[in-house]
Amino acid sequence: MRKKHIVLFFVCILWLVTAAPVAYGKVYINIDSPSAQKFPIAITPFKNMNNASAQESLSPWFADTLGKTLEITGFFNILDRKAFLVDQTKLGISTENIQFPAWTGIGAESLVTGGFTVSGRDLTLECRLFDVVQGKLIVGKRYTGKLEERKEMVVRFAQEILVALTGEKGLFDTKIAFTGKKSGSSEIYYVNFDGTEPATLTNYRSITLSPKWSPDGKQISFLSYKDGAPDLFVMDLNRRTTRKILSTGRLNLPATWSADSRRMLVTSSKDGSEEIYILSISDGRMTRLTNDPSIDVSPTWSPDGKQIAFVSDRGGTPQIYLMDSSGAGVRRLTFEGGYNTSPAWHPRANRIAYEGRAGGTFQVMVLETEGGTPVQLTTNGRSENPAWSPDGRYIAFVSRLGGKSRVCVMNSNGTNVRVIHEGLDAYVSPTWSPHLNFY
Amino acid sequence: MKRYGILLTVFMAFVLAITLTSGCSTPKKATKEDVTKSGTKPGPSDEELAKQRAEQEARERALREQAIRDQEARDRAAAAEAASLKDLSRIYFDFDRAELSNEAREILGKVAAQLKASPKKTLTIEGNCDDRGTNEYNLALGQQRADAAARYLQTLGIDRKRIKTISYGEERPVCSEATEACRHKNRNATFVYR
Repeated sequence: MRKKHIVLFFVCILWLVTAAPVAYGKVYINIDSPSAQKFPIAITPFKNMNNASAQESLSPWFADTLGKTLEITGFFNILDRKAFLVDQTKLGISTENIQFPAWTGIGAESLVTGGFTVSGRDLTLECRLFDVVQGKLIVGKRYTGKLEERKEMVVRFAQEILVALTGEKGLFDTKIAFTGKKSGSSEIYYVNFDGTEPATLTNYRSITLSPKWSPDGKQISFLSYKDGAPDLFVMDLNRRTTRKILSTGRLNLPATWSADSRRMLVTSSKDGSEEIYILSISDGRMTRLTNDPSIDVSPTWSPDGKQIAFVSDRGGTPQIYLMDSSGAGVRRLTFEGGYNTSPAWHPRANRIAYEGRAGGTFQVMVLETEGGTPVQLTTNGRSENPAWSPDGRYIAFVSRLGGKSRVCVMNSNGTNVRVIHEGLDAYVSPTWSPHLNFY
Repeated sequence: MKRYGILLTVFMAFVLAITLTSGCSTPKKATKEDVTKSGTKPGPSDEELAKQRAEQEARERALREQAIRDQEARDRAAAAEAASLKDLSRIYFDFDRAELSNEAREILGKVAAQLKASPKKTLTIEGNCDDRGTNEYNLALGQQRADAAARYLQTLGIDRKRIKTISYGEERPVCSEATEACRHKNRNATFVYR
């Protein structure tokens, strides 16, 4: 994860600094609008600046790679190069060379031009993003590094484009961890937001479940039967060390971390029935929040830490309830369908994603915490265990369809479903990292 | 209890036999006194010694045969117990429920009888669920199922300290087909005797 940081020695230069603050003030794509259309963007082939003949293929490669990267976000309509009216690689890639009407004419609202210079194994990459409607440069960057670092340079510029157009950088520096089951045992795996670099985190050949990424990005908590009983563990991701934080001889389940990564909501049956506690990680102190002989499980904190959503079957079926962070003021949130579980509180809004029963199967639903009508986001097969991205723009979930289980990511309005991991027997419990800043 | 009684009888008979036939098991002090006395008192004749040896051998043979018979009896009892416990290895539950059915109570009654008959045995109750619903919720539900069985055994007079409960949620299915018959099998509490 960190290696890239050290290897990629790059220099960024912001052109036309005076234009930048004006351009940054505008949000071109309002992601949170439910009616948001995909933003039409044209990406020209990149100009081979010193005409290194051996590197001709890089010209379309840069454009294609940037296009694919942006497409993953689900926010862009990448315009087909065949429709382009002018060849900017011949005309030039700077503001004074851009024929803006030729781009608005094909429906583009933004244009990306680029140029590269290869000298031995050294690469210099220039990228520019234009607002073709207003006819001006929005952001320009220059990256220098090694030729094999070109993909990272492209992803870095994609992040710049997202900041410029949506007001926030993309999730390319985030990972999603989950439980994967294979041959009767389960382990924790993780993969990048774009589905690249899948890896395993545990190899206990036991039952290992419910990974939860800490908000500081440095730790993952999980439940494992590796020592015989369902105990809680925390793994330090940099050192790859694991320590046991709760062992009661009975059921213990980890849930959401506090914003400061020092406390954790947990479910434990140590005092009898399954109750929700706040566990202080440094000293193991537990504060009990619920007191009911029925099942209380899967708690999730609101972003301000003042409220908790959780699952309880105290009403006869599993439903989602809300309570104050002290455990007082319990009220039922879900009433539709006989089985609503796996709540995940939106990182910035009073909104809960959960798994609800719909038409004989289970689908991902979203409901405002003041109540109302749930919005069903998924329809195919069975969709479970929703987990919000740190910006709330995406939801990771597990899809079971046609006998196959997959880890998927979709935009928060239910569109743009992508598979990020498949091939194991079954998957459960995705959890999303914060920004890890590896791009 | 009966088995231990037999064992004790055999042991005592063995000790008695050895005490009667040999001086080895008498205390060291007594042995020394015997040695000092042996000079002043005539020892037993060769005939008497031969007779004693023959009697001793007969007793030892009888003891060995009895021990073998006892061992066979114990093996048969253990096999019968294992066979009966196999039938009492599981109880089943309705979907999303942890309440005990009449059938489950009946089986638990037999489990309690077995535990009373074998006071040294301990029991682990493993709670399991089918794959519908959420795995976290099912881990809790499995714990409730195991606890429901444990509580019932407790009301039948079994010491709670002899019972351990663990939930495996939906993680250890005994059956993997997508049929109700199969899901029914997976919604269980399984008894493991140790």
